[in-house]
Amino acid sequence: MNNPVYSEQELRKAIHDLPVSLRPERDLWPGIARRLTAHEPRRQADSGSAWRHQAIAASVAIAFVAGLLIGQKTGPAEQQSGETLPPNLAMQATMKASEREYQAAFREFIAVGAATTFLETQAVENIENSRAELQQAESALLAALRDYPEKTYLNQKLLDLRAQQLGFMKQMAMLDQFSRRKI
Amino acid sequence: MSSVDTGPAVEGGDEISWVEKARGGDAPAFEKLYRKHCDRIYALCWRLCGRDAGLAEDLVQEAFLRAWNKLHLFRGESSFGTWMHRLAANVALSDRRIRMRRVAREILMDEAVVRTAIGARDITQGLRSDLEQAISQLPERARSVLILYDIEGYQHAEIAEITGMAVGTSKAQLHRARKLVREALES
Repeated sequence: MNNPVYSEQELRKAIHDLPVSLRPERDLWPGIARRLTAHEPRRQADSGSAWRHQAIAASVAIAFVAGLLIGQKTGPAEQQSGETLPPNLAMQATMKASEREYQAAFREFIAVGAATTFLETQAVENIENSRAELQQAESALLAALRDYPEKTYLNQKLLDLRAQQLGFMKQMAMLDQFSRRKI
Repeated sequence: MSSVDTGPAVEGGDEISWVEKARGGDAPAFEKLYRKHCDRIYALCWRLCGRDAGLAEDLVQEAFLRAWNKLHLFRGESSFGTWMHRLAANVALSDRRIRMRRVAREILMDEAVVRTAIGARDITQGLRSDLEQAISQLPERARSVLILYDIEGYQHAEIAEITGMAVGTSKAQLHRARKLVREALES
């Protein structure tokens, strides 16, 4: 193939010149307007689907954040014991099984997806906050484990976190089914 | 304030009055805001989600719904368009479906994605079409940075704030994205 070679400037200009406005193939306003109307009852009463959505989402958020905080409270005491023993075989096997279970659930979670766009905005935000907390905890733990892979305390915390994440995904699946039925 | 230029202000300050009315629950006023900014927001979402029209439509709707609920937080420090654009970028970048694709792509398919795009490219199409395809096939973080910086005019500090990545990472991802786009176009 004799494709042209673009200079750096040509390439940047071509990218910069791409249109910043594109018209969607269908009018999206009716879908928005319908949901604007659906938001109104939320201001008036603490009943109906909006309330249930928020309650579920809030419980998800509280449960997982609380779970993380409770978990953190048990950390320092164990840490102070200064245990640096290599993880035993049972722990290693447990870690492997936990990771397999988590990865399998995660793959399913990815494949199925969730209709979060059909939830109340506040509910989505609550879920996002919970997810962000879990993701931060995961990043921090995995980073710590890269530096200290033999710390039993860290491995145990990862097991706890994976359990939390599995629970979160189950709750999301339940919420997803619930919201799809409400569409 | 964001550096993103979202076009000229509406004549006679109409947009400000629409915002005020929409804050009070006036849906027709909010529809006017939607009509004015929809195409810009759609283009952003369409590119950020890799040219998936259905997902982009979902994201546009979600972004405007979130804007409706957050209008009380809009203080007029920037134009409504700039605020809306930023909000839509946040919605798109935090969407779980896009994030999940990122995980799948960056862990499993990272470099292969670009090779696939090259193989599927129709060289009789114009540069713009090739560019759009090459951009859509970039790994998600590289794509996000390139779209926000090169097309939408955000600064690295703003991108860092929106995406949660460090400024240096944003710069590195931009460099990587341009390199991958060039390779896709020239192969």
